[in-house]
Amino acid sequence: LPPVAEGGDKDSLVPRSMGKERLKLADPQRDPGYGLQLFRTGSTPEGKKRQVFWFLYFTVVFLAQVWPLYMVANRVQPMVLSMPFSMFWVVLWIVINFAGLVILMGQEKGGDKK
Amino acid sequence: VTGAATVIIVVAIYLGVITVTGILAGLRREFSISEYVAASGSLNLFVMYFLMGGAIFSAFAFLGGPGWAFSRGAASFYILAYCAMGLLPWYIWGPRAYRLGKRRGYVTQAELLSDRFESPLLSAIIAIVSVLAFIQYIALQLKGMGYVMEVTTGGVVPFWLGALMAYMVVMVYVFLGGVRGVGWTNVLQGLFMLILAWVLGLYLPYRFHGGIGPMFEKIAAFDPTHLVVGPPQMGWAAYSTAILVSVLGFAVWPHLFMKSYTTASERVLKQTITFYPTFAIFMVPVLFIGFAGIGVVEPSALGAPDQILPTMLMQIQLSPWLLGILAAGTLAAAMSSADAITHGAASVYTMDFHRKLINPKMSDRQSVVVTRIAVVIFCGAAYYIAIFGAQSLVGLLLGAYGSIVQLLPLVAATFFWPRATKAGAIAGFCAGVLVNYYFQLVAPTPLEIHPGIWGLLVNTAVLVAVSYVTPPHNLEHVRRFVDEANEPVE
Repeated sequence: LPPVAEGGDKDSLVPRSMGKERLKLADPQRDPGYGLQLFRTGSTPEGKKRQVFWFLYFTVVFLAQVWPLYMVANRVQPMVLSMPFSMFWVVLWIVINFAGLVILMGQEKGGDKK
Repeated sequence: VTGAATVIIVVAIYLGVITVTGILAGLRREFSISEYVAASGSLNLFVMYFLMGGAIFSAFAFLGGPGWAFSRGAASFYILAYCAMGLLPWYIWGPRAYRLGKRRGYVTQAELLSDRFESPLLSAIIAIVSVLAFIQYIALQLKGMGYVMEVTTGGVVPFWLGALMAYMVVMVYVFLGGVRGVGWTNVLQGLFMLILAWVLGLYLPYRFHGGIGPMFEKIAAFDPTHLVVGPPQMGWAAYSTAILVSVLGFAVWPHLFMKSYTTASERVLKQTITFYPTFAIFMVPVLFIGFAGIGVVEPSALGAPDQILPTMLMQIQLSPWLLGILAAGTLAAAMSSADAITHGAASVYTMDFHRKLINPKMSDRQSVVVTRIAVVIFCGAAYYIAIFGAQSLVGLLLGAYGSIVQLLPLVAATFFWPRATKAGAIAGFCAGVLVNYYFQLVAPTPLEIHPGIWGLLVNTAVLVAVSYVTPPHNLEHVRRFVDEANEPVE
């Protein structure tokens, strides 16, 4: 690993990685060139599926809290936990959001051990 | 006046302790610029958590939050949503920024982007736009501090003096402490704010309304539209796009990238993201504080809705000692945010503007001096805006997000789209920033949609179009950013 740079070549237009550690480029057979690349080169179908799942999960978390989905919950009654329903709804999705993140972190930890 | 004197003494003691902590944390370090900015990558989760918390438990949250709950009701729920989801996109950008930072020794965000697009000019443009957004953000904090001091001392410390005092303290420990000082003072302040939020949020509704449930029943009977989102307080498009622009913008703030380079490991980075929504839970009682003011404080009695919290504290005739502690705590929220941001703004200026355009051969010692001068100047500009600007705290924050979110397409292109070119990046970013400022300052924004979102649409379209008509960068160069960002360092 190159140490944190202490000035020096910081401003040259030569990419910092020149002459230092260089990653091997991905297999040119699968290399998408200039194309849009959403996944790590060579990631497994399961890995991709998991990424897509979590992306959708958090997209739903977001959509539930904005127009138009939020409109279903946008009322005062019934009050839950002493809060108007509109506020409880937002708090509920904070919890769902947090739960998702905890599970995701657990998954990644398990994945690292493999 | 004796009450005011007590408040001032308590606040002075508090500021003294915080200042000494910051100085002590900093004195043990030697000063090289990357040490000053990045604390050499050894901040642990505990400090990271409160560094992050400091950014949210700012004057905006503690004064602006209750201010909005009081004056605009359910529109304030946007703060909960934004706080909970703000760091989610960081799961995408954070680890990638971290990996590239470790491999290439970046200190700022613009270094990464200008390296990818091979353009020192882009670095300078990003630096200017970020510094302008930072200044708005610092102004928001100073304004908050001014309000707190003015109201809790019954006007003995006027608004301008309160803001000035806090400005001095922030400068002192940003100067002497560097990032580590910022980290440790935030730990103290973060803890203090969490306790304060719960105690006040549960006590005030009970004191004035006999409980949280009865409080909301009373508000619903008094003003049926206050507890639901939508007109007249805030239209749906405005509400939804305020959340969208904040969530998209949150994770591309330049200081967040700088923090990612100081993180000990990728795991710590992801842990921070995981625990971040807990701060949104802490924000819930903060909103109760504002709701508790309805029917208790006359809106016309306030200079601005943002003064609701300190005004209510005065109303319950708290002992001046407690009032002093509370004032100190609210100042803590404002300052923990102000110092991180001030520090970020000054570093961005030194690394991305001064070094790129004015003096590329600057030594480390000179860099530190330039950074300090920048701290003084930016804080001064923010102070000017705080005193003479008319916007509310929430208004200032949303304004800053509008220009910051324009960095998003550049960041996304760096990690995912090798075809994006230097011309595309510069044209897109400039177009986005101009559109945002046009709808913020000149014309009313169409359809109530946040100006930052209009900017983002134009920005992305221009980036893609111009990239396709300009020749691509060297394939190996641009692919390296995608591949190195995808490959964990450890």
